[in-house]
Amino acid sequence: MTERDFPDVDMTDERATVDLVADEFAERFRRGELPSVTEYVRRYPDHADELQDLLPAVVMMEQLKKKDESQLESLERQAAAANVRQLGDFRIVREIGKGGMGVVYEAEQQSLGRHIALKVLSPTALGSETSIARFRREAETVAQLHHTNIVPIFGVGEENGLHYYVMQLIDGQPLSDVISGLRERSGSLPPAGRSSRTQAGISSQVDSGSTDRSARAAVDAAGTADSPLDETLIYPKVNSPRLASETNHLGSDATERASLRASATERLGGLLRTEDYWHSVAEIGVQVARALDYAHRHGVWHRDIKPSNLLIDDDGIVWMVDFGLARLAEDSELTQTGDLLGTLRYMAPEQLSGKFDERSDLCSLGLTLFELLAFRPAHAATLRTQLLQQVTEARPRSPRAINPDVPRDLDTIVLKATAHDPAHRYQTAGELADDLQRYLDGFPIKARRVGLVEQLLRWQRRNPALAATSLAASVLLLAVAVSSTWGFVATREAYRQLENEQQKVIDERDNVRLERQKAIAEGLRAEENLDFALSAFEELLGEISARSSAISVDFDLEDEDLSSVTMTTIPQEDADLLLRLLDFYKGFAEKNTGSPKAATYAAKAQHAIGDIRQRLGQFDEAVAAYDEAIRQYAEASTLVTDPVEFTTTLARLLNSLGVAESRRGDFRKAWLAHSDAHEALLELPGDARSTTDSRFLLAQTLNLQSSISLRAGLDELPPPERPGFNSPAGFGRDGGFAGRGRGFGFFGGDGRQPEQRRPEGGPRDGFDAEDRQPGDRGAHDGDPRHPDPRGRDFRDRDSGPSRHDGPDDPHRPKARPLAWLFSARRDGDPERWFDRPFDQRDGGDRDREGRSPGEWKNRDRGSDGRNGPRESEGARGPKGPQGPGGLPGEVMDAMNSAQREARSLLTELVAEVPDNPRYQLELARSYLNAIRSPRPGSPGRDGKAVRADLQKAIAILDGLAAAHPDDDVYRIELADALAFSSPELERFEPEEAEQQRLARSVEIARELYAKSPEVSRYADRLGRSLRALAAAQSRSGNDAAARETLRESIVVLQQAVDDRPGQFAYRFSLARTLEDTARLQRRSEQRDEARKSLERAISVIQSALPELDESEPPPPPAVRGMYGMLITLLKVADRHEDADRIRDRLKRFSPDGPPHSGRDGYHPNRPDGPPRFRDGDPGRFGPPDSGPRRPGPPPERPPSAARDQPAEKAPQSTAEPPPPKSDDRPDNRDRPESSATE
Amino acid sequence: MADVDPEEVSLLSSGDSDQIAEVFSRYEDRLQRMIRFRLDRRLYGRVDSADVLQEVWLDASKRVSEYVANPTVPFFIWLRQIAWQTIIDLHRRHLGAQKRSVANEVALGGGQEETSLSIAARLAGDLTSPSQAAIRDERLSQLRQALEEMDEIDREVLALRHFEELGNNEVAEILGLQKTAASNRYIRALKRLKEVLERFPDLSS
Repeated sequence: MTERDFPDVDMTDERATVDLVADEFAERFRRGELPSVTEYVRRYPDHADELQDLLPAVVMMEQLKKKDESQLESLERQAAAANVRQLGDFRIVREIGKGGMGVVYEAEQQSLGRHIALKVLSPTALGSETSIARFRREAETVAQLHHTNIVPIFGVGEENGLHYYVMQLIDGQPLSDVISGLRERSGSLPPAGRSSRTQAGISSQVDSGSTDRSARAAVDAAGTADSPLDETLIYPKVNSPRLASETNHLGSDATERASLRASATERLGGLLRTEDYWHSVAEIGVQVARALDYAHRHGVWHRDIKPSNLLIDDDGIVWMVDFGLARLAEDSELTQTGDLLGTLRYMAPEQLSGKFDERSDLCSLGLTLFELLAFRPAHAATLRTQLLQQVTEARPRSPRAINPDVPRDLDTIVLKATAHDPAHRYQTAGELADDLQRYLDGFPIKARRVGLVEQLLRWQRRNPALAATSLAASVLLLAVAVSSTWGFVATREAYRQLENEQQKVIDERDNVRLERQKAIAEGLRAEENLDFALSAFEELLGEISARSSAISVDFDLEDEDLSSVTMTTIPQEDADLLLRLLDFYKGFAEKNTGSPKAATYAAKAQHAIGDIRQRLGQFDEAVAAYDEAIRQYAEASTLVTDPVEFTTTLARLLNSLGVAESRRGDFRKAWLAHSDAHEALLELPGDARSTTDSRFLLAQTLNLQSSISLRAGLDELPPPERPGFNSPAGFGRDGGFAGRGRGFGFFGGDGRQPEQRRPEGGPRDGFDAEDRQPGDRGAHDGDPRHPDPRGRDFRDRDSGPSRHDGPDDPHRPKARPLAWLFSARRDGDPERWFDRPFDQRDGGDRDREGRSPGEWKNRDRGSDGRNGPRESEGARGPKGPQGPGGLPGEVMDAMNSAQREARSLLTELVAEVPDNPRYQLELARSYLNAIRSPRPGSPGRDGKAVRADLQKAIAILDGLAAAHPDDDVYRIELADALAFSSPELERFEPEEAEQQRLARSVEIARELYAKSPEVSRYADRLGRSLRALAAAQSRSGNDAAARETLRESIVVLQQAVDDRPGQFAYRFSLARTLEDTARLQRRSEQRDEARKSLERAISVIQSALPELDESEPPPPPAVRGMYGMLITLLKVADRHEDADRIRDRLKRFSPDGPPHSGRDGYHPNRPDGPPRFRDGDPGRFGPPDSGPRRPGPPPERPPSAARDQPAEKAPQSTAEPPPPKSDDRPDNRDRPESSATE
Repeated sequence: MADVDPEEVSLLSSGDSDQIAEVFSRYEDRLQRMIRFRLDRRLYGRVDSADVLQEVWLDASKRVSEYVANPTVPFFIWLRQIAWQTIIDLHRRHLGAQKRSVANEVALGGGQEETSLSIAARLAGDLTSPSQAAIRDERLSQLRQALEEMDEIDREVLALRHFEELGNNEVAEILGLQKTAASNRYIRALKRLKEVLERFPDLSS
């Protein structure tokens, strides 16, 4: 060791000089000196460079060692602390918790004979004298706090080098435990790795996807365990494996604790899914926020708010622990990574850069509330780096995005509390508490305004192109206006109430009074802008709908109970925005009740709610909202000063209702709604009726009426040559997916036409036997005061072919006064009006028109000439051939008539006002309607007429697209129109022309897609147009081209699937395309490839499907439909066992037959089928007309299926009666059975 | 080679337990330091370094006659070997299969395998602010990577010289190197370490 003691470096030593110098240097360092590198550099100039270089490394090593040693010493102290039994006056009873800061014991304070909680700080937590001093200071400060929700600190102490503080023992359960308990109850999916952490005794503390590693993180997150993530940094304590169940500040008895925990969780759990639960969360928030407010005012920040630091006791009191102690952890060199992680999860972003103020505590509280609402942490990452990133970068998240039941107000409060920028949060805990209290008291919260505006701003950022338009800009502006407007109005209302009830109290509070007066003044001003602002939202809705699409998918493949489902494909961000708007309107509607004036606003809000629901694909809710809107509107009718506006608004509402009804599959109600709208419009006085606006609205209404069959599949039996798409020539009229469904674009709130139509499919019929009775649609109720207007309407149409001559047509009987409609509602049971015509299903005397059943029968037979006698006598016998879609045949006539009238009106309008694109668009749609819903008497049955109408529509749309090159609406409509196909057209149109047409559709769709790939509708259009083109190519023998085309389609649709994995419609479309591909491959003997394509199709469907769980309610139609598709694909792929298994499981959900048939209205059965290539494939993929695809009706198949069959089976369908001649001449009607052929 | 101290050998061979204990005590600090550094941290709480030292004394006092019979290395080196063996046994007993590399260490006779890890952990352990700690995982693995690039023996030289505070001769003895070689290696290792640290500016600050 002599070499370590040299007074000066011996230059003769065999060692390198630098080594010797370094050794001396190190030695001095160890002695506590701080040798200077410069000094040594000067002393040994020959080695200056080297020393300059190396000595810092020596310092580094020595410093490291020093730290290491001090850490080790603490570890040893800690190890000693773990065995502590007595600390001064305190006898340790048991350990109840353990964290990075130390261990919490239950202890008995012997002098006072009371039980207290003792937190013994880990020696590592107090590394230096300064931090010890600081700890004492902090603890003493906190000991000064006296608040109901802050666990009192009795004192601090030190014994044998162990520092501790004494606090009240709380019988409670950490919120982290509560959350995990609730999470299980709330039914959210368990985290993947849950089982792996049972050894930790904690079930689902943190989040999904946890591995063993993250399970530890979870434990750490609760601050209750002491196993850091990094093995190399682990300093386990003696007897370290602790069960998390021991880590609560609970009573002394284990079972008691267990029962306490159960009861706390039980209590909240029992409230789950009720309003009370949200209230409980808000109450927890209020308590914590009030306590924080108190502490903040005393200059104490908590710094570590997280669920595990909040104990909730049996009385629902929340107790905060560990005030200010997190700061010590920051000092400590030995902060255990796991605890840090737990803290990190709830940290405010600015905390990471060392900034902290009271708003940071609020952010942590907000994140805690988030977890109580969403049952998962806002920042769910389990790896530190990811978590760090989330905390630093993530925008505040909406609990509602995870749990849609969360009340909007609470959501808004959490969003505000957790805003990234502290300046955007509540500025004090008191503000947060107040807002939560407002929520609890049912008053409007203050945070609301910012939320909506912010949301719109974000929306604008995400959609810069759209927002750049002046419309969007003005909408944005108005949104600001309306959001504050609504706040003011509501506030004013609230204050008005207060004024009445608590006048005295309020008067004593000057500031409140001032505020009230201000609010009233603002409210008055705001109300003036309300109409304007509301209409701005309507426009916003229109904007959104332009980028969405509703795709109706026929899922029914084999099982009759699988329904067609209209699936909306709406970008997520738009859906989010819609939800926000929905809340706005809901709140608005709720607050605006009690006066006719308010009812007007409420009606508008309900109308908007309906529109939003519709865009979100929630058709039942949409119908309810429209019904409510109509009701409110009727209520407001006493205020009507402008009957024209009143009537047109009502008509629009009814049209919206009709659209929603048909979307959800109730075509009779749809028909009735549109008929009512029609009726209402006919009530307009002559001069009002002749305005272009009124006529346009009428034309729209008629168009809607006539296009119900598009949605309804009213078309009864196909002509022999269109049984389908299995016929050699048949390839699906739209070449695929489009043709399969009756997809529709959204209708505007004003009853706009569908923006996206797809050709009508083949026959379908979904009404139950009892639904199909002709008397239904005429039966309002037995009240003779309210004769049914609708039946008369039909009759009018029947009797007056000149109906479309105009509203002033003298032949048209005077329409019923609107009064009946409202009188019915005013009769005290407004519900009845809605229910009357629809739900009374028995009794044959419901025809209020006075027509005998026989008359119906005659009409029915005459109308389409091929229905047998209807069960009009009131019988509920089995279904026989009936009026299409359950509607009487004369509805068909009415539809044709409406169609003609609409076209005539629109032609006039276009001639009068040639520059109005809306008129032209509507006219084009009316042409398309006609050919898309071929029915007896419509031009859709005649190939030549079809082509003529199609060309007219295309010409109009071409013109529109050219005149408005920037407006994609016209181009997408054009692409839709160009992709049209039908068997009739197919026969008439030369192959070349067809392919050119489809190629154009593809081209336009491709451009749109390239321009805006995020618009789902474009991707969808492109994929389907390509598929149609491929079908045409294949028919003309060009399989190579078809394959190429399909390939592109697959790419596009796969992209759509990838972008929106949750959208079944794209998956369905993609699977279809893959199936076509397989068929083509199969035909060219590429059997392996074919199999691969099929398997891919299967996985496309399968990967999106949830497991079928019989303990759950039946899956929604879309899921069942997807399963149906899966079954079919499996069978085609020869995986019959798999198919049967799924089928069996599906069946278990519907032992009593088709659960959706009544509601969804029809059993679509692949009217146009998947594209079949011309010469079919006799192999497994099935000959066009038979094969495994459709093995025949299962026994439980409803009778209607017998009629469905021909749609796909050529042999059967040819046996069907030929379709009626396409006209509605009276003599035709009387033929009991039509034998007419085309 | 480090020199054997004849005085020590005579004291040890005296058979007087007090005298032997006196010699032992000369090395207590250094041995304890070595034990602390080398003992797996997972064993803290279960095993105290004082306990280990106790075991070393027990073992050494039983075998001291072997040493005096043939003192080929300085007594401290001999003691350190016993301590090392004790640690290995402890690791085996407590960590068992978790720590296969213990066996390797035996083969290498110096625990070099663990050195890079230990140094890295200590370096990274320096990062204690919340954000730093959050990146610690990643930095640690980078650092380890960097340290792995260093020569194994070089690493061990650093550990011995600084963590165990051994002199060059002792290092040479333990690692079986010539003194010059050990010295050169030390210089080289410092240089490498410097290079590594330069890549991690937040560590060397």
